[in-house]
Amino acid sequence: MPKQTIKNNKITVDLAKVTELAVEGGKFIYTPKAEQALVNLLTLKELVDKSIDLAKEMIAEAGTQLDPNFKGVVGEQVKSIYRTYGEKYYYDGHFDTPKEVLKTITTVKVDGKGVETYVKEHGALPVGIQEKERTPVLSLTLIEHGTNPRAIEED
Amino acid sequence: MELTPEQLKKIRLSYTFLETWRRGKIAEALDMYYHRNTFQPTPQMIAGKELHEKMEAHIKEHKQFPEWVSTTLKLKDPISEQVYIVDYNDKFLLKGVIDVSDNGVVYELKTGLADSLKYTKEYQVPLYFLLCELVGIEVDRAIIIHHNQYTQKNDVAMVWNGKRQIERARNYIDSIGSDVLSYFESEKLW
Repeated sequence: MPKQTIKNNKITVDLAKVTELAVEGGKFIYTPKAEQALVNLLTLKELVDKSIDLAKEMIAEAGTQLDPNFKGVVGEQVKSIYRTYGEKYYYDGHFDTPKEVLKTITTVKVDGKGVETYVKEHGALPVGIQEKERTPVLSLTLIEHGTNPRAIEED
Repeated sequence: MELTPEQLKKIRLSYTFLETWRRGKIAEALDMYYHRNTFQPTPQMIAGKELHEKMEAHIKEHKQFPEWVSTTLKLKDPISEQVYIVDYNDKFLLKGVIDVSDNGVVYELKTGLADSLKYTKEYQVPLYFLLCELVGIEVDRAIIIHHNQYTQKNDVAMVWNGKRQIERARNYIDSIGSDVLSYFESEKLW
């Protein structure tokens, strides 16, 4: 059984066992029992992710209470930056916008369906089209989960 | 601030001097060191300095940040523009002028385009932490308040004092300081 327990609302995680879980979970192809190890890992990850999100929210709130223009705090081991991401401006299509603040970008995209139709008809890729080398990546998702993760033993 | 005869023999290092030296502007650093007024500040530097002085004057008089800084930070018993000169080692003095210190917090006031986060990566704050440690003042953090006079916007970042920052300061001083010392010795400036 996994070495994670809930006692008095506290979770104790045996870190050495986390690696064992990963190894155990890696046997999922060979034995359905390995699935429980994966459930444990995914549930633990979800709990940790939620805790980190909570910590972020609390830092942001405390920071903006300290000063509404809070940008970040740097510690001994952690740097916490509070900033916006993505493009700062967008164009709303107004015709009077000065041209010097806009740039026209022409992009060319491959029509995947068009390529497949061409290959069906001609038996080969059209000139100028190459197939990308893509490395498959395995994803793991919990199919169902509730507020009490199945993975954790309750004392 | 009275220096002892022994201290007068040492090379006086400040953040501005060290940073100017680090950027290869040796002549400018030396002009600064010997208070030779040959350096020509840019209009932006002049404007920044004036704003800085205005902020300092307000804090001295009202014991709070001016309203145009738009911060909710409150000061209790601030000391502004305090000059500290302290022995760093047998060769160097460390000098710093702390914008505002209050209740274990050092406040560094910045103007211009670069936001407060930029200054969290630089060496001025760690140097001030070290300076305070050497002087015997307890400081647990620095708060950088930045006012962009072009957009009238402000932002704030915080840096916790700790071993890592002190080490950063010492590494910074030691690496540039050794170069300074070599130069001063070779040019018989010391």
